Amino acid sequence: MAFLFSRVIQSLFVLWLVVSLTFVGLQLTGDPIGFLSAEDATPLERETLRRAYGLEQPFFGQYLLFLFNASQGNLGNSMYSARPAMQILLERLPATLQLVSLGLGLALLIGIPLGVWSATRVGSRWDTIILNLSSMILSAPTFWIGMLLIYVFAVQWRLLPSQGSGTIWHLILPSLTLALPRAAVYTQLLRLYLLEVLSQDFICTARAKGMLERQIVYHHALRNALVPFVTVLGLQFAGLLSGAVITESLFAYPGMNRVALDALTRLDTPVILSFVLLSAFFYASINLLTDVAYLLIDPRVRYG
Amino acid sequence: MARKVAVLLCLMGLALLAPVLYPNPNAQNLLETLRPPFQALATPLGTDELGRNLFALLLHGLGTSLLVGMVCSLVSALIGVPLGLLAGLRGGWLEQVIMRATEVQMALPNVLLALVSLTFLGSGLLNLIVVIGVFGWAGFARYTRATVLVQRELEYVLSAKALGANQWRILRHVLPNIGSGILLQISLDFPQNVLLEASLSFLGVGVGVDTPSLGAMVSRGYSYLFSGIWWLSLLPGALIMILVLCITGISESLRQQLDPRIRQRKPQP
Repeated sequence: MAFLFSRVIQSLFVLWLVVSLTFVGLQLTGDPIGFLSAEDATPLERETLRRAYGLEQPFFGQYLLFLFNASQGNLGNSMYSARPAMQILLERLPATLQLVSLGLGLALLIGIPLGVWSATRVGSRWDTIILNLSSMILSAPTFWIGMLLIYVFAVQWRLLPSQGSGTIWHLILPSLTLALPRAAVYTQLLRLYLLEVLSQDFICTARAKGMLERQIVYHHALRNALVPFVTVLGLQFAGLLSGAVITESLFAYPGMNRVALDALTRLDTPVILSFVLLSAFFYASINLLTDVAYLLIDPRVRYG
Repeated sequence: MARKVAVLLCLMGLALLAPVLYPNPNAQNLLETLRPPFQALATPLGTDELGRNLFALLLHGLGTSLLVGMVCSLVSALIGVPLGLLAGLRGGWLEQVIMRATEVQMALPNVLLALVSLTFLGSGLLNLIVVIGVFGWAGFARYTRATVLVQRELEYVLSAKALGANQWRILRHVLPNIGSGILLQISLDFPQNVLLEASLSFLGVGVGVDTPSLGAMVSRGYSYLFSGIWWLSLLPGALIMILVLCITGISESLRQQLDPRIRQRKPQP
């Protein structure tokens, strides 16, 4: 319990730092009244606007106001659609969630079998092929992988749609684009972890007992090797929620990241800030959740 | 390993020779637009929508990638390593502050941070290098602190302390011992920065219009992909992949050489 408490405090601290840094960054970009008001605004109009946004207050007062608003998820209205910035992002969150979870699911489906296959055949031709392939995928930029998929499946074979959303078919190429680099990571990680576990004494014991190799690998080794995956998966999930910018823009997928990218090109500050905050929030909370998950999964882990 | 070094040296040589071979990669030839690769000797990889020689553009873009990747890693190391040393050797509240700061830095995806900063700062080669370089500090700080914590407990530091050495003298003893590890970290960071530069240029906030960039080339060529003109977008991307693959491969082999634990790990039968 004490551990949980201190972790929550720590996450809140990180969030507070992010908010404060964005505030300082905003202060550095100059007086917002300049671009909030009309070109020919009178000094009185400017003053009214200043008061409306609480900008007449001293620095520290503004900071407290910002902190209070940010803690409520309220960073003002979008400059283009006059709706709360956070709402604009959150209504696109389900689409992104769908894409990211499908992508990570696919990555696991590809990565785990390949990792096991590779680890149980270390040094073989298949092992080398899988390792080389995964290094190649990891070295390629995401957009290039996406384009390759588009070129092959949408342009050459005309099998799948490459833009937009709506049907399940629209999800395949973007989620595959997200999945391939992660699958490569999982394959390599799982291979390493499995090799590590397979060289431990309890595996030797299991072999000595005459257990089937298949059972040793799947029942004993894989279970242990998958434990560190919880962190990797959690962090990647958090990272992708606000890191699928390239994939979403490449496939014109109507998710949260594309809204943020549009906001960036139009300098729609409230939306941009909300996005930054939201992504820090996801990271902090998922990080916390994975730490808690360890307590439940791995009996050896005892914090504090 | 040897093959990868050879390829990397070739790529570096070509990038260095690019200004000599093709002084003006932007020379247009509107009679020869969108020529596919492997058809003419003068334009071995085809031409783009303005009839520019794709091979020349690729070589110039390669130079930018190498430059940005290398300089950014150095900038990150220059910021991160001293902070890591400070955290590791001094300890106390300073260490706490620095470590919490690395957590905050890592709480936000680098692409997102760089994207936001470059949008407000404006794109351009210098801004890009500064932004990627500065945001890369956390990894170096964490790595340096971790190695310093190990070194701090070793006998040579303890005996230096026993002989009355001050912080600076200890630092002078520790630095050579962690130097090779830091160089390795730089070489591991380098390809990641190449990818980051490509992504940012692809999203349109990279090095700017007048600097050749592989990522920007992919982005420009993307609209032609749907009409089956693949070379404009897929070739620059493939070049990025080859470059990153070589550097990562080399630094991974170096790591295996340096890390006795990995070297000794024999494959299981």
